[in-house]
Amino acid sequence: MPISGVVIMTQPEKTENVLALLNQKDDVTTYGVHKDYHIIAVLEADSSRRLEEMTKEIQQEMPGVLGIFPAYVNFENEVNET
Amino acid sequence: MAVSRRDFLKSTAAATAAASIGVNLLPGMSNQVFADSMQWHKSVCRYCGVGCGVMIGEKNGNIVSVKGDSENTINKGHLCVKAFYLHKAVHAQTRLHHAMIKKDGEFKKVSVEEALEFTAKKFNEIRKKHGGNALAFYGSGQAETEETYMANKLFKGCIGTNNVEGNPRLCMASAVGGYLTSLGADEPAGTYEDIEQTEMFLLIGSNTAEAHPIIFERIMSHKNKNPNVKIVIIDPRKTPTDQVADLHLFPKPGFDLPIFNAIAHVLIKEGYADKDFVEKHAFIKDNKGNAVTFEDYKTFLEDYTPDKAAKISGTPANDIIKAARMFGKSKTAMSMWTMGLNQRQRGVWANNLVTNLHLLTGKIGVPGSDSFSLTGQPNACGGVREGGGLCHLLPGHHLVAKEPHRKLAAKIWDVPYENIQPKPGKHTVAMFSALNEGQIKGIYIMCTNPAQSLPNASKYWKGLNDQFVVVAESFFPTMTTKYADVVLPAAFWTEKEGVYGCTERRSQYMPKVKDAQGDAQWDAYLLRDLGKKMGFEKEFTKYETAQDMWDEYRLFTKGTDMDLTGATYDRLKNLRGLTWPIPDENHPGTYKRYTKNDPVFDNLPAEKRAGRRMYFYGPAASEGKASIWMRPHEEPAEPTDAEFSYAMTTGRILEHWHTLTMTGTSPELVRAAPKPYAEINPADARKLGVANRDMVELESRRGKMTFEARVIDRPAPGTVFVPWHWEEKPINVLCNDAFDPGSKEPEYKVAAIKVRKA
Ligand code: SF4
Repeated sequence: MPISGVVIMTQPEKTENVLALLNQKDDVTTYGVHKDYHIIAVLEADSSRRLEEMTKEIQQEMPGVLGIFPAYVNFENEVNET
Repeated sequence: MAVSRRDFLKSTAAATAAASIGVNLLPGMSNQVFADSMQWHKSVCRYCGVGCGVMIGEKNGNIVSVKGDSENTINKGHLCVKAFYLHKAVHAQTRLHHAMIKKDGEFKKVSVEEALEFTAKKFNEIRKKHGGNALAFYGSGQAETEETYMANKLFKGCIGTNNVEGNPRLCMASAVGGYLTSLGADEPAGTYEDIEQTEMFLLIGSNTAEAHPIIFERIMSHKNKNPNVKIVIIDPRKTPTDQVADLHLFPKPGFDLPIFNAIAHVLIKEGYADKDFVEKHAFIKDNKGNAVTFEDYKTFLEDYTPDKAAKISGTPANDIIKAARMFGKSKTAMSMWTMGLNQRQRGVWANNLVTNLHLLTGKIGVPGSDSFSLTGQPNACGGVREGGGLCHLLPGHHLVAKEPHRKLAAKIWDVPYENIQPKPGKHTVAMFSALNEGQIKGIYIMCTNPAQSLPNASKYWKGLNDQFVVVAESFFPTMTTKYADVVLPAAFWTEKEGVYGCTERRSQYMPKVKDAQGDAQWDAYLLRDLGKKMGFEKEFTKYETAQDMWDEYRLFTKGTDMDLTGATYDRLKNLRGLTWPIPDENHPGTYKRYTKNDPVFDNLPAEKRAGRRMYFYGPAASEGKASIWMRPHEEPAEPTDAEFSYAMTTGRILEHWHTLTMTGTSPELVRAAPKPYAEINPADARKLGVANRDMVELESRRGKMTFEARVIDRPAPGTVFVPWHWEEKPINVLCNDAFDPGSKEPEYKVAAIKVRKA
């Protein structure tokens, strides 16, 4: 189960909307809006593939997301499984 | 209360992300709580030229975690989504574990020793019968500097051929030519530090958001904090970078040169030129390199009115004027570009014309102003440009054509001076043509996939098929290994130590974290041992460690414009890299070249610096002056016409990297990424009767291929964009292999095609 702590950079006027949309998503836990319209979130997925799909969905489905930047990725279960 | 490991990882993930923006999310929490057997190692991202610092989490010999290195000044703790693939690449099922020799058309597993013996014997036979120039080396901007260094010594110093090239020829050579002719030395004057200090970004032919996401993050962050910062894009395609743009100019692919001249025209006409700076710091040159006057330049630019540039480029004249005014009014400006400007028949001219704008307005050599080329590969700058991995270069920005440089190389390498040929070898396209023609009979290809990545690729499969081909790779199969006679298993990132030098002149050390898989060996050792087996025992015995190679390489740079004397392994292991010039072990590295606090500038005789804030001391400059060039408009080699009426351009997308050898290593990731597709503007799709996801046939003068159509308002009307990653649809087969006469970089970015519904 890969897990990633990400910083989501948003357009200032759309930050709250992005946060609300993120909170509706399964496997996404948000940790609030911080400096300069950054949202902290943790993404959990059953594979790297899903992790990557999730970031793409967030970017494509949520207007105002300027970028998603992983700061931490752990894939120890996935590596152990291969 | 018991905390599960999952909860702990989640907290760690959140806290690390928060810490990366300076927020303490979980006061009191420490990453050490569950530190268990995870070891963290400071390294550098394997993927792109941004050079982000990565902390690698290793447990029992496996890479199980990565995080952005919060102490690294480039990425300050953040990574882009390619980080999700880093462990996949290391542990990929497609990793090559053993050497192979092809016998009767079948690969047979052999020991590395046997494969090297066999290669040495074949190379020596070819050399004896046809001379050193019948052999060649083709390397990579992904190889470490030490690896390219070993190849250079073996081929240029021992075998005696300058047929040494690398794939940066295909992406960066025009930037090199541009810097040399405009500023007198390769690589930018500034660093990423300029990003947070500029008032304007001019992004040209660069999908920064997808190709260099961390740079884009820094740009966006700066703009978010300073809404008055302007972002102007010049690119035939709309990309996610547009979300933050103030203005986007859409030239027809290959028709942007007049835009830069028209911007210069407006800058002068409206009083934004800094004539005093120009007078003191630049020559103005006609297209042949003769010095001319400012008045001559003005007269030349009279011809490039915004209206005329609009007509040629298809960009509204008003937008050109607006862009010029933004550039002129901003106190500082930073231009950034990538392949859209470089991969052109007139890539060097395009580079010159961008740098002209900075020289003309004095927006260079001060914080926030620079003409800054972005690099695609992680060590194109460090290994190939600085390490001298091209056919005319020797390590440390030295040239094979210069006798003192050859003498220095012979001395450092301890090889006979006569071994090093004064004539440049064959550049990439010429090298693969020579393989086709049988002039080159043996080639060593390291860490790159030319069978897929060369322009007009299928034209060169013959030579790869006919001649003796050795491929050193970490992954198998690739399109190129299909043509190999010998395949050597190469250690991958984390399995070897070495140095990467990124876009901003920063050299960074990467440690070996785990053992290589199977029989794989470090590329530098494979080359060293091949050298010994070819009979150059004395020349290669001395290299026992990576540091031996790096220390010797630093000798080449002593006293040059790219002095790495102070960049010892000891320092690099502890610091987050150093930006050259670094003339001694106490030097902190150089932020701005050619100006105060650049050690080379500071050590110039006072009379040279008198009355000037910059002195362009590079080897290709004279009197310390840069050059403003009068470059005329020239069409791409293959403009559209009535028959081939669409302009095709190619590029990279966020999820993938180059020919997928690294990001396509897992079947699930390949499934996740989009299938091969071509982007078509909705207006064109209507004309062609093509709906989204219909199949379309693209035909150039070199072949045809079908793709799924993605009807999207990204390419400008008349332009079709195709990502170039997929082996089953190697779009480079359709690309034109016409090349820039100066840089020899092929014109990937413009080919005329026909489009029809399949
Ligand atoms: S921006 Fe480039 S160097 Fe940085 S994490 Fe992404 S791929 Fe790696």
